Amino acid sequence: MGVQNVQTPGRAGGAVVKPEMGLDKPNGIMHNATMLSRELVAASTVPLVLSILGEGETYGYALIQRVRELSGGRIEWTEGMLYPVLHWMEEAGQIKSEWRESDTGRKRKYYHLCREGREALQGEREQWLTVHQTLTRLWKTKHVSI
Amino acid sequence: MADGASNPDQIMEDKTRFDLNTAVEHWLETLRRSPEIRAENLAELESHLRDSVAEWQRRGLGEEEAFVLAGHRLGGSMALRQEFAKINQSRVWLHRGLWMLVGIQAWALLGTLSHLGAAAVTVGGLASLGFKFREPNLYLSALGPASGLTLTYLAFLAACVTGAWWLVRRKETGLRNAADAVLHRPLWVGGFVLIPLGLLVLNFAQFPFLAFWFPRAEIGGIMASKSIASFAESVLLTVSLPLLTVFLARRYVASCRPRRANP
Repeated sequence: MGVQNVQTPGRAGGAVVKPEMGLDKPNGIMHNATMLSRELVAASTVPLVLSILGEGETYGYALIQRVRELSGGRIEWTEGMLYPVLHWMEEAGQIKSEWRESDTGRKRKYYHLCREGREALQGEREQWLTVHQTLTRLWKTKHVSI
Repeated sequence: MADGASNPDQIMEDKTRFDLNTAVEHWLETLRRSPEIRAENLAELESHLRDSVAEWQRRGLGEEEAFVLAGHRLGGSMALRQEFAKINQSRVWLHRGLWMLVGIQAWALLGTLSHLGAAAVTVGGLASLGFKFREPNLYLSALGPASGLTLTYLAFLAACVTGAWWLVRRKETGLRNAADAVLHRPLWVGGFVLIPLGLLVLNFAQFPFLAFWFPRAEIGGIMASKSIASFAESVLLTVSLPLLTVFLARRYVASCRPRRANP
């Protein structure tokens, strides 16, 4: 099984087995160069979810739509894989969910960020910015063009 | 198991007119049977699927196309089960443990039933044919009825196991409904506990039963036949069950390996 331990700031030690988005993806959607690799998709799921929930509460389908829209379609999730991740994040105390009736009359499960989730988001921000800064500095000095 | 949810075309083939609710229900049914996915997870997936279908319809797709595309984007049932297994491990193990317990009890029950059936058929049959279970030269004269007992026992066991297998494979929904009904009625649960106990007592009560029907001199012969037969059965099962396990395990392991393009 493609189970990996990933350390998340919200959970010390990273001892919890976390579901990884898209690692079991059977099709080759990811192999396009402009698309994110599987590993990056998996690693960026939690910060993306935390950041979107930081904007306000939402439900799974809308969350996926928002990621697609923001990434210009370059972050492509196998949609069903988001839910185990959301469940894991709820277990970890980062987010909370609630079933409510939507404007269409059907029930939807809405998620919002908890205090621990806000802290986790802060940690993720710092880590991703560190990677971003380092790469930017490297590429600026070496004049790499994409 | 067939990857039903990832193959929505199959669902539609035998329908003349596409009905979204029926299609969604078919899709749910495949996943409802998997221990990896809880009812609540499934409700959320259904909500997502319906949102997605509505969105694709809004963008101009027909109902059927929207459903196929939404199902494809959500992911195949095998992939979904694999991912959900990571968060619902306790449920997966509960499911496995339940099947193991059911298996152990079914095996004991079928064994007792088969012993009773074989003894009744063989001993009763031979006696009614005028066969005398002789006391002198005990073991030698017991060999004939013992082999009869062993064969009838194996036939009963094979019939019971085949019947149980057929029930589980073909009447899964019926069994599930029956189990659901039994679990919520204390009297039936009592029956579930008492039936194996009753069979066990019946099996033990063979001795006074035999003493009542057969002359003293023959009981020794019958008991010797039964003891030889039970030894033969044990030997056969002790050899064949591990062999069967190894055979099935090899097939299972082979099916786990990815297939190579060039063998």
